[in-house]
Amino acid sequence: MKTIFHNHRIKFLSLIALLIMATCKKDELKYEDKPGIYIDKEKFVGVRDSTSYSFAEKANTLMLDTIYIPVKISGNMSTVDRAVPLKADESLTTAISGTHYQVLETKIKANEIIARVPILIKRTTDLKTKQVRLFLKIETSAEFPLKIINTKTNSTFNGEPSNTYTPGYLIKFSDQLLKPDTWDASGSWFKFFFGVYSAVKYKFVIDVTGRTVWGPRARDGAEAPTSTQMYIYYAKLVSALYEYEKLNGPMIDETGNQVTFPKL
Amino acid sequence: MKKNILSLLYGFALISLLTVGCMKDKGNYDLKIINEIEVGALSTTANIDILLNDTLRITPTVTQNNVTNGKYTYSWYIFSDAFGPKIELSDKKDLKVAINAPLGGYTLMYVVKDINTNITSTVQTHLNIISRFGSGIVVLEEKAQGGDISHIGLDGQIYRNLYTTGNQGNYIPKPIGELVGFYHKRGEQIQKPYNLFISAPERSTIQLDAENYQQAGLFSAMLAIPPAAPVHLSAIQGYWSGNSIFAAVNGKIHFGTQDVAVPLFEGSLIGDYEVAPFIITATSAGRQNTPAITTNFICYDQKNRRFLWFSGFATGQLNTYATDMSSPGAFNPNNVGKTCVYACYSNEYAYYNWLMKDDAGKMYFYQIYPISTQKAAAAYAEIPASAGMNNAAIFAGSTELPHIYYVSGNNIMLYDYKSNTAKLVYTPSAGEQITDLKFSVSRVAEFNTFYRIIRTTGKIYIATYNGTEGKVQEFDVSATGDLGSPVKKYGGFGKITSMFYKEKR
Repeated sequence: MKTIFHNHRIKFLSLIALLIMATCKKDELKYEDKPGIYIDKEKFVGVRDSTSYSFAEKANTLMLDTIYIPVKISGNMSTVDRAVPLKADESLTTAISGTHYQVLETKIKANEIIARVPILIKRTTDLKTKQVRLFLKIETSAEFPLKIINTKTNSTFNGEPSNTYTPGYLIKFSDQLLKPDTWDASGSWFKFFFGVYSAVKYKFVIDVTGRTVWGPRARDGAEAPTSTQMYIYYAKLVSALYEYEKLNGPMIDETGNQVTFPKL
Repeated sequence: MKKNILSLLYGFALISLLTVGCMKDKGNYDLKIINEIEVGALSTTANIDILLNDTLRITPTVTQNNVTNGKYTYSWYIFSDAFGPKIELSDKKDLKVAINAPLGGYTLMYVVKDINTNITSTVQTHLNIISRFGSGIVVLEEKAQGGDISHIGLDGQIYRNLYTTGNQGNYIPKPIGELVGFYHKRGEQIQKPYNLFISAPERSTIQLDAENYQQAGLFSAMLAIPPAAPVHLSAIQGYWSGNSIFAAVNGKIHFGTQDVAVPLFEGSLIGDYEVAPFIITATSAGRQNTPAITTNFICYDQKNRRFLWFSGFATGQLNTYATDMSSPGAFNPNNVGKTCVYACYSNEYAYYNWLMKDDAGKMYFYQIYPISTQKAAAAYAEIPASAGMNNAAIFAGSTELPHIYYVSGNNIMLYDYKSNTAKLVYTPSAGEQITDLKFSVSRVAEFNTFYRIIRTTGKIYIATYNGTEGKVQEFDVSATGDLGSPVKKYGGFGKITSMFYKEKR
């Protein structure tokens, strides 16, 4: 036996090497490459499933505005443009297409994976007295046949996604003063400088400061005020409230509570 | 046999490689001593003080061993103590350059390199860029044409006509008012001169560039919410902790932040009040077993004749004191009922002096502690009429001794608030009218003095006017508060209406 091994040592070694190589052969993955598309909620700041918009916070001359919805594909890029199948879910929408809003046709361009869908919202007189809802959802199409239910954030905690997002996106809009979505968010300057929200207080804030655009949490994004500006707004507000109370007594909000500002 | 020989050869080769790997390097290189460059010291002292815009001249000795006509490159540069960027000064052997970098401390570097061998030598020293007008007494004087400013350096040199020189020959309009200043207390700003203002009730307060006394705009530019013009600043003071700053403007207190190059006032403190032109920000010293300060800021409301206090990090409402009388103080801070004529820090930390006058003209001494209960009222005394204080308009309080100096008639009187007595300490020559009285102060509060606020030091300056010439007399204050004779005299001014003491760190 020993003689056989010695005489055929090279052959034995070659055989073992071949066996080892065979075990390393990669099994070819087989799956159906169906493209899909989803609303890319990672692009939103703060609340990621909905937004509130009020023309009341904007200039009186603004009659039309645009909200952009970021979308992203799943699957391979295409060599041709593909229409984004973002539609209103009529069962969950109270805004009237054409009257209150318009979803502009948008395409994922060839060899690209993302796009932004412009949603035109219109300042109609009825928005002075009501808030309408536009629930957007991705539908399947011939170009994007894969239905994507939930998406998960890339960021992880203990190996698990820190967020899971539902597929739809809700836009609530009106021409009334609405509570900013991020008023009570962690680290919000709305809450730190202005305290508990009320519609009466918020209108007072806008009237005294003259500012209608605050950005998320009144501190994020290019439109947000600086901390110095916030301290100045705070000074104006406590002073204006003091003068108001001298003339009129306490300012009472819509819930019957006295409007106050926190002591900083 | 052949197999054994091969094994031996392999083993021998392996041991040889291992052995060679462990060989020690004998290090028998061909080393030569280089021709080192030797540069003499840049200064005979550890620090060079240079006035801003003055020319710094340094001629260092440069020698190189065994080299007589070497060729070198030179580099002079500075970098600030505040980790500012490198500032190139010169590439010549000798330094002769006007220094116009920002005021402050720097490291001055000098690098000499031999072009042929790249042998380099570097020496350094510390450089302070200081302002010509960083220290001394600023004198606001009235002349026939209007107001002007002179500066008396601490070395006795007098710089005259500075306002008119710096402002195209224009004078300060009459009435010229008084000087009000703000001392930065920390950060890079502490190296800078002061925020200095000319304040008169009839017009908006203007700011001066404290380096050259040019007009630097209106004080109201520092107010985010300025009141209607004229915007009159009557007092300004920072708080020792945090970055709060307070200013008395048109009878209201404006609150702001000072940790920026230009203080910014966010808004006025709210409440029904008209503030006396004195600001006391509470002092502390890290002393043990003392009650926590709860009133960072104390002022007096002339309208309702009561003390008010504030504590906070943003604008808010001025507060009255607690009304619980179960543990009363020396008086009720909510009901003083008199008019404030002067306020100052005392010789004890956390006790603040206020002089009041009642409707009959009688004078009173009050002392406040920085807490919000009735116990804040620390001391009270009715000042004897013999003190002659009731018509005094010029005061200067000491923080070294329990004394307040004031001008009664044309005499300098000393009021000792511990004994509630007054005495005459100086009478000027016949014909000389006293027009102002100021202590020297330390710009930087030192912890070991138990103060963290501007405090007075041992000199007092008295301005007089004889109808044609204004003078400043400098006195050393004795341990008893007596002034004796002036140790220095400066003359040739117009009528001095106000002085401001400056001292760089």
